[in-house]
Amino acid sequence: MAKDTRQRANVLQGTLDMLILRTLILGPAHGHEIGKYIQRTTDDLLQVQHGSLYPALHRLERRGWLTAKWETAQDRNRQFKYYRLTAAGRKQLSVEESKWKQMARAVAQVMWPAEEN
Amino acid sequence: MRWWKKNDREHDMEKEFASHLELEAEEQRAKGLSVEEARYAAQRAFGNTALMKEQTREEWGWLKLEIALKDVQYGIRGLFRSPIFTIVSVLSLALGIGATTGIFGTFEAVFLNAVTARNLGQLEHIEPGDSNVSYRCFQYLSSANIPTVEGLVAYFESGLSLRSGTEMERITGDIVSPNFFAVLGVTPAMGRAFSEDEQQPGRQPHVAIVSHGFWQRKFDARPDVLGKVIELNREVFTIVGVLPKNYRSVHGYGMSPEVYVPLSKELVGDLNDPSLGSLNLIARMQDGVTFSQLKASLGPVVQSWRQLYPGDGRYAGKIDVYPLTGIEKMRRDGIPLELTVFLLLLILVAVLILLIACANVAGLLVARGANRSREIAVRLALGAPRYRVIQQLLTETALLAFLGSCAGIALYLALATAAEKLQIRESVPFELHLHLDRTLLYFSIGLVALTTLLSGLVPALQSSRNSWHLRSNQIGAETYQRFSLRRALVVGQFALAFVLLVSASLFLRGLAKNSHADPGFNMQHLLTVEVTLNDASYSAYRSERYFERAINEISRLQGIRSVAGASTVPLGIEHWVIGSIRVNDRNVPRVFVNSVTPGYFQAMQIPLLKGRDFQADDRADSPPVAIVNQTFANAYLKGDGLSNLVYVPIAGTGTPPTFLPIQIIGIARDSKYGSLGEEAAPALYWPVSQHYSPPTLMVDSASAPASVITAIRQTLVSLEPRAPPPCQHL
Repeated sequence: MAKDTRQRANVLQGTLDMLILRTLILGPAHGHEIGKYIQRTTDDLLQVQHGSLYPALHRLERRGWLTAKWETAQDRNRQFKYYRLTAAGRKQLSVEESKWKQMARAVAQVMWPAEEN
Repeated sequence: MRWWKKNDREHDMEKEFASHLELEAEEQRAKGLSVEEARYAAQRAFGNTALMKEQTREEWGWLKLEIALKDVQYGIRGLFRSPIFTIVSVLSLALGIGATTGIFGTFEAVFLNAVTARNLGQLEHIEPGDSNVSYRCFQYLSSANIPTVEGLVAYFESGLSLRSGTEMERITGDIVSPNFFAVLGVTPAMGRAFSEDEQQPGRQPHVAIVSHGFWQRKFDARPDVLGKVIELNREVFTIVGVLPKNYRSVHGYGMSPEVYVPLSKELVGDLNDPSLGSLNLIARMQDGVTFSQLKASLGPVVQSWRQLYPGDGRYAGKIDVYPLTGIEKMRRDGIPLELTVFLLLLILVAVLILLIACANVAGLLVARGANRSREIAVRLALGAPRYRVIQQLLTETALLAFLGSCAGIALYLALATAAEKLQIRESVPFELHLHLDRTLLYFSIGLVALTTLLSGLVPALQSSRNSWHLRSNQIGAETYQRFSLRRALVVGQFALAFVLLVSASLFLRGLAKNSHADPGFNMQHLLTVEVTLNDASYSAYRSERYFERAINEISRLQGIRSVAGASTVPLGIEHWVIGSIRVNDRNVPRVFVNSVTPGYFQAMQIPLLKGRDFQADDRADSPPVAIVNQTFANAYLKGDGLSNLVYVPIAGTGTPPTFLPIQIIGIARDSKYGSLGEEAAPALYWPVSQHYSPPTLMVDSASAPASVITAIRQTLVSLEPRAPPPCQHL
């Protein structure tokens, strides 16, 4: 069981990091919001186990791509840990984006060679 | 965040996770679920909280260290929980490691690295054709400026008479060239080494450096020992230095001479007498010089020495070079190969003990692992990765091995301290200086690592595998598997123990056989009396007369069966061996030789098988005669052996030397000469009157020796009041 979880996390890791960075371009958000956003925008196609967001968030924070701060939410009287994109994070997003595009193109070329022409 | 802020971070994570779960639950409730259901749904969406926490922590870095610390903490708690298991394992490992390092340490101290010196590997014994050289030869070699040699020292061991108050005591000292300690690279613990201006042998006042043991024994370790005087052979010596406590002398084997004095006329007689000389040489090679380069560069120098003194036939043999320690030295010193093998086997046995200890601990760990399988199963079920479980179990065994080796080293240190205190006052003082040196330390660390792996890995792997299956309720199969490993361990242990038992009993049998070995002469009630006459005031003639009278007087004492003199005591420390005797056109490579007085065979109770004993009228001017032993007679003599002639080279008559024909007049039964364990060896006796060397008196007393010692002492003192009273031992 333990093994399976790890494997899935590994598969998702790169992609998940990119998705988180992309989400935060819209403005600061806390973990739950990020999870919900990804789920909603992909029409529930990408089922991210919410818990697995946190290792990724903490990793991105340690690398300096995000900063985190406990702040009171505007609509409620409660504190949440809000993540913000840093300049380095923005740069990283573009790097990951271009990498992803390259990869997607490569996969597409293999899968649907006819449509290319 | 830094790792020491871990608790803050931990709290932060808890809060973050909680707020997430709360928000999710709120949303679920909004969808119409009950409070309880909403909470479960939120948890489901979140996943395994514990695992997520673990994975998040991993992202913080420093985790490996934290995990290791946690494991150690957990391990210590675990060990405390089962104190009997812990004590048994630690003791078991301590015994194994203690025994192994102890025996290895002893071996190292006695044989492997038995000499204290800077860069021991650069030092070599040199034998320019003869194992012992004259002072003249030493001086020639020293001044020859051999390019490969950085320094050359000479030394020889000698019995010295030490006066303390009115008592005289026989001690062992090394008489050395003054550069001895400088070339060896030994700095005294107190005071100084011999200085440059003491290079002149015989310079007054005489100086001495004493061993740490001597300083403690004679001066009660008083710090004001420097400048104090001691009287050796009736000469006054000023103490200028005390050697370090763990100084291991160049003799090796734990032999520790008590004083070191520079070569002087008063102690060794005329230094320029070419026939006189029992110096051993040690050379320090220049940096980067190899053994064979040294040997090659000695050739021309020794050759020119031979041309300078063509009459000095004793340097005719080949030049020999060998290191100060190791197998080669042991072979030359007559240490039987069997003893070396025995000691190596002893180490092997000690290692076997350690392996058994490891097997024991492994067995205990497997048993413990079985008891803990439920705990491990729970941990695995909670999502603990298998490697973490194994890592944790390994930490625990490493902890155990660490404790065990600490206890083992403590045990070793206790043994070493005990060995330091052990002072066997044989004819040469024997001191054992075990110290935890680098080789030994690496050796123990290696053992610890091995122990951890051996006793940790197998049970750890098995425990975690067992538990893995246990989860699927297949208990039956697993217990079987576990028992098969335990059975293998038991069989292994039994086999090792059996090997140990057999080898131990073989050693014991060998020892028993040795101690019952017949030396071939009477050892009971045999007393040896060694009298040192001052060489300077006694000519050979006067000394000979003195011993004649001494033997005469002692034989008339009550309770004395017989008394005789011999230049060497069989099974003593010194042997007299000569080569290149010719007999019946054959060369006898190695013969034990002894100069004895008439009556020696009677006193020693060695039967004469043929011929006659020496008599009073076998004088220096009568035809040379000799008695040989059976082995000699069987191998080399013709007919009944009597009146065969043996030809003995006369020292100092050139190359080839002049041979002295000696007639065989008797054949004695074989006995032991060098050591109890030796094979039958050829031996030759000649009368002390024809080959004079100051004899040791051998007294065969009818009653227990103790009762006659006083009488002998009185007799000898009345004969020569100035001669130091004799030293007596069995």
